[in-house]
Amino acid sequence: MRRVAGASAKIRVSEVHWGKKVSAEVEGKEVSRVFIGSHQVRVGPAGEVRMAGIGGVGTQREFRRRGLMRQVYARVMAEVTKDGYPCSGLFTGTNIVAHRLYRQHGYVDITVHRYATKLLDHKAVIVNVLSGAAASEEFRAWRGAITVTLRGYSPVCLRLGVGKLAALARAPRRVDLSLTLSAATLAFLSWGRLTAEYAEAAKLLTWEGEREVWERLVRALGRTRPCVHAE
Amino acid sequence: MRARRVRRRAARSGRAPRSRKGIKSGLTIRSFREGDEAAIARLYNTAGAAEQPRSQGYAAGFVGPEPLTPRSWRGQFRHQGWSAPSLDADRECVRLAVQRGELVGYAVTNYRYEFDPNVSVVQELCTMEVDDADGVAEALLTDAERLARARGKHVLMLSLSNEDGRIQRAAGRAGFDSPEDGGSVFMAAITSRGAAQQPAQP
Repeated sequence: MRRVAGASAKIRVSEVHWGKKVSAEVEGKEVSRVFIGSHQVRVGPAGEVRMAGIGGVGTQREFRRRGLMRQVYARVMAEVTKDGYPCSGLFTGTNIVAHRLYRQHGYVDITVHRYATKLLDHKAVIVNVLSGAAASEEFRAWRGAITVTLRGYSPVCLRLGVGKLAALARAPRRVDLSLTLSAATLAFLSWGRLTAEYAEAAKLLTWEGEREVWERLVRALGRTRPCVHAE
Repeated sequence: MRARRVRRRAARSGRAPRSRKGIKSGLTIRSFREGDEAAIARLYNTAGAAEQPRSQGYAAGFVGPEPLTPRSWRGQFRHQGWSAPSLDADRECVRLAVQRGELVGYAVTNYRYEFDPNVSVVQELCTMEVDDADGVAEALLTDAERLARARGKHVLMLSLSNEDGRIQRAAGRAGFDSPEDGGSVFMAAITSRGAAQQPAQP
C-alpha cells in the first residue's frame, strides 16, 4: 500500500552561496531537496531577465512516493515568486517522474537535448562508481569479483573484499557478477542521475550472475548515492 | 528565418568551396582573448547558429533567432551561477578555431562541473558554414578532450541538440557515446504574469 504523504515532514528554506535550498526534513534528517540559483537570460526583444535556475533536485530512495517533493516544489514556486523572478528554468530527463511534476507547476518543454559522453579514463570511472558500493555494509564482509564491460572499451574486473577494491585489467577465473552497459549509462549511474534498478528495467544495463549479488549491488548503489539529480 | 536567409546569400556569393584538406591544414585552435567577443557573436549570428539553440546553457531555449551581441555572450559567464565556466579566471574554457585569420568555430567547456569534479562539459559548440564544418567541430572536440585529459578529468560530456546533425556526427566520430533512453529537456515557466516582458535592471 502506498504510504500517505509525509505529513510529518518539515519544509525548510536556507541560503547557499549561489542561491537558496528548499528541503524536506523528517526527524531532523534532510531527505528531499531543491536548489534555486539566480541566472540572467535573454528573452527575445525584451532583453535580459532574471531566471530562477532549478538544480540538484532529489529525494532519498526510502522516502520517495510520499509526496515530499510535491510539498518541497510548492515551496520552491512560492520562493521564486516571492523573490520576484519573472521566470524559472531547469534541465530534466524526458522519461522520469520529475518531468510530470514540473509540467504540473506550469513548466513547458523548450528544447530537447541528448547527452553524449566520452570516458577519458574508463577504469577510473568504473572504480569510482563501485568503490562507494564496495565500502558499504552490503559488501563489507564479502569477497568476490565484478566484471564491467563497456561498449568500445576493454572490460575492467574488480575484486572486492573486506572493504578493499582492486581493479584488474583482465577477467579473473571466477566472476560473481558481470555487467554490460554503455559509457553514458555508467556516467549517469556515477552521478546518481540514473539508478541501477531503472537502468536494468530500461534495458540500459544487463547482468549475469547470482541474483543475490546483483541485489546487493543495487542496494549499495542506492545507499552511496542518497539523492537523484533530476537536473 | 533571418539566419537561414543569411546562409542562402552566403551560398550564392560565389565563394569557392574550400577542400577538407585546405581547412584542416590551415586550422589553428587557440584560447580566448579579450576582444574576441565581437567575432564570436558575428559567427553565431551569421553561421545560422541562431536558428538552433546552442549546445547547452540555461539561455538556450530563450535565445531563439535573436542575434547575439558581444556583451550578451560575455555576460553569460558572469550571470549564470553554477552552470557557467569562469572565463575571467580560465581563458582555456573558450577555444577558438581560426583559419586564415578568420574565426570558423568556437567551443565553451566547463572544467568545474558542479556535480562531479572528474567531469568536463562542452557547453557550446558552434561552427561556421564552411565546407569542412564537421572537421572543425571534430577538431574542437578533440582539443577539448586533450585539455580535459591534461586536467586529470575522467569524463568529457557534450549536450547535443536533437536537430543539430553536424555536432552529432562530429561527436560520433570523436568517440562520444549517447544514452539510448531519450534525452534531457530544458523546461521553463513564467512565474509572474507579464514580468518576463520587462528587461532586468542593469
